[in-house]
Amino acid sequence: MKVRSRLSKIFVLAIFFLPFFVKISFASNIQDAGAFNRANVYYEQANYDEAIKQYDGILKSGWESGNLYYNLGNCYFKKGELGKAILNYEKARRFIPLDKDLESNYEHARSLIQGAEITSKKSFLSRMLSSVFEKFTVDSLTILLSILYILILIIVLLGFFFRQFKKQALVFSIILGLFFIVSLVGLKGQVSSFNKEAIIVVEQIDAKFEPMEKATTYFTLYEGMKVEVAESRDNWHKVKRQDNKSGWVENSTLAIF
Amino acid sequence: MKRALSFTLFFALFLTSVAHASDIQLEATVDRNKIALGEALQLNLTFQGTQNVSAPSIDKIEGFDARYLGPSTMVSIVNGVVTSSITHVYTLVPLKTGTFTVGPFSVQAQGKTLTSKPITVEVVSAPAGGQPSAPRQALQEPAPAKISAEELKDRIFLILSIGKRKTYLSEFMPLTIKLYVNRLGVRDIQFPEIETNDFSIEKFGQPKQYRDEFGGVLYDVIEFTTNMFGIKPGDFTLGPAKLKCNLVVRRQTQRRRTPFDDDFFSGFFNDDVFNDFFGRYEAYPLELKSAEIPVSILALPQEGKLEGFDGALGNFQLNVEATPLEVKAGDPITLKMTVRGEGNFDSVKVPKLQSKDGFKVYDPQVKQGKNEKIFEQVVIPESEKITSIPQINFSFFNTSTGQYQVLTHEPIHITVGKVEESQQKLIELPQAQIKPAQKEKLGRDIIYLKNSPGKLRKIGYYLYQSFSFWLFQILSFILFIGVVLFNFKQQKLKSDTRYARRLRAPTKAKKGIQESDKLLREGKTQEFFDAVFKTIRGYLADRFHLPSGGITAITVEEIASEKGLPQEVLDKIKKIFADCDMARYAPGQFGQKELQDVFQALKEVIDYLEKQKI
Repeated sequence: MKVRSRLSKIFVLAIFFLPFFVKISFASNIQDAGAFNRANVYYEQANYDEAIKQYDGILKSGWESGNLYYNLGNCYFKKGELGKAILNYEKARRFIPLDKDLESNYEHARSLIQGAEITSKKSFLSRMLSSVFEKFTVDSLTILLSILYILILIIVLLGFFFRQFKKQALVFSIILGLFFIVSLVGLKGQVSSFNKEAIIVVEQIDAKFEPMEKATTYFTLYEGMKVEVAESRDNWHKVKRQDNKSGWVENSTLAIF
Repeated sequence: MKRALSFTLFFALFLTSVAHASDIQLEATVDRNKIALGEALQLNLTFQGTQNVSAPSIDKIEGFDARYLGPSTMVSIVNGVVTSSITHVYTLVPLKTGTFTVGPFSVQAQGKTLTSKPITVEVVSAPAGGQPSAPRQALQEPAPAKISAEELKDRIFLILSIGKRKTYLSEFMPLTIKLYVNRLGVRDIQFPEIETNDFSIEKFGQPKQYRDEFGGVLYDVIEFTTNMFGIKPGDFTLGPAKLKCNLVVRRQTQRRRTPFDDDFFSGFFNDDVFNDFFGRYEAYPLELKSAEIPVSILALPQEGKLEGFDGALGNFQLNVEATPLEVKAGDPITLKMTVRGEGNFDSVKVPKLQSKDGFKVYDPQVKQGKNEKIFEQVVIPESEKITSIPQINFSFFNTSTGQYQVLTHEPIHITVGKVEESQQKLIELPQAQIKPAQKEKLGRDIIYLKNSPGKLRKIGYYLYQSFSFWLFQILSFILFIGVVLFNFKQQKLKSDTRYARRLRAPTKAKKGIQESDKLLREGKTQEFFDAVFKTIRGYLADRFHLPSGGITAITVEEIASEKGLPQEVLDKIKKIFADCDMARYAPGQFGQKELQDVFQALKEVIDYLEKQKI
């Protein structure tokens, strides 16, 4: 009896704290909402430059959202700037990865990239994992981790209180623990990819063997291609293509996100 | 603003006056060329283009006595062109009969010498007797009965004129009939009539009224204009034009007419107002006839006749507009074809599409304006393969060059889209069973904008960076540890009686001490020793996990040697036990002091044992 009442106290506490991190949403600024609507009107009038200006205004005021990047991507797409469109779709994917419209526009934009499609040389496991974790945002992964952690604690406790289920509790918490570790790796991967990924924003650029203009061209990158930034040096970035080929390109040719 | 405007206006006027300074003209007119002795002649010297000329002094004119009457000025604005004039009016009274030349007059104006044309005036002697006064009378009071027919002809007559004498069949030409009146009162003027079977004459419009010089004499003119065209080829005579009006005459002479008299229409407004008391007016009907005009109507030449010629005559331009230029198959396009120019618009028919293939063409709607005719024709492209509206031709006979002419408008490019699917389905429904379903081709483009900004958040801010998030994790861990420890304790209490007794010993001892203290103060010696004994025995049993009944001075000694208790403590314990034994049999021998010592010893022993980890 006593044990049960203690347990219920834990749940009450958990429920009390839950809103703390589940509902960390910010009341959207009315001004920004106004700018957003204005931008949409400009877009309707095909005045993409002005629409982009309005959206950028919101970003400059320190706020961002998936929908915002999505609309910005649409503007650039309509303007014919494929690279920036894909860049913004990529940014939007960090916030609303499950959005069907976004997925469709992103796929469509990517289908317009020049040059041959590059097949990834990553292992099956890492590709599978990344395709799973693509569906999560950083925050949802954080919440998932937190939930796994709490679950593990609760199951361990249950194992203590009900000694007859000790074995099951142990097995269960180990499984959860594995999930926890995998998710942690995923989160780590996502966070570490911040400011490491980049989109080519010029029509075409040759990646060189060395960070200098006269260096030999290794391969060519086309507008909209996604690369990893491995190293930076003065005006040059060492970028890695999906097939693990690395070369140097100038700063201005790509946008890191 | 106002000032600026008035300044501009002033400046404009100034400019025009300057501009016209160079085209100042002098014109001299008389109101009639034939005059009897004793009558007066009015001479007008009109300076066109300026008002800044003072009255030229007229020297002697041979055969006349001249007198200056005064100036009259006029400014007229026609189509934005400002003309101004000043007329200096003189009266000339003939002194003798004969033919005289009035002028030419030379006047210095604005540094230029202007010269008028000379005018010939015939002065006749006044007829003798009753007759001689007749013309004079007639002039003063125009009575047709008294004016000779010939004179009347000079003072009121009709002139018929047409644009040209040779014209093509159905070709429009202007017809003008002018009524000239000199110093006569005329009323009830009717529209002129021309009897003809060879021409088609339109109705006359509103007549124009103005003054004009004709053979050196100033006339009031009423001008009727209209259009006419010949309806069959050949040589014909047009006219005469006839016009009916009433001539106003005064029955009695009341006073001399002044040269200012202006009999036209409302001559009575001058002196007649005054004369109304003295005389009465009568209207005499008058029918005027114009001369006849020979006209040749030419048939249209066969040579060079164009295929699409529909009988349009004149000189035209063609303008074509099509709206909208982007449609779906089956949607209407409006062709607006405007024929502009001069000519017989009744003869203008709709311009022709070179080919109607692929189009459904409807009858045009026609609007006819003054100098244009607008055809609005609806055409419907029947399939999306059509890319343009074919060339449009309009043929006419150019009457100014005498040749056939064709106006063409180049094909108009249009975009015809596919019919909406639902419509297409409807059309193809019967064939649907035969035709294999076509693979649907979907358009590809991006999906439209999001309407709301969604969840706006601070840039670069993630949940894992939040303090409260980590606080929550840490608190839940602390809670977890707490619960685990608590559980540990519970389990130990349950399973380990030695531990449990050891844990409970101080609490029980505390209770016993409190009770003993109470009994000690109450002075209940017997009960005090009982309590002390129970407490020490219970505590030692719990503390060392022994049955409480088995605690005696001997067992205590054993424990002490086993656990290594100091002799001092052992002695105290033994003393407590001994005192308790003693008190059972001789409670009276314990004073308050001894009781206090026992109690103190109990507390010290328990305190000591609690502090020791044994």
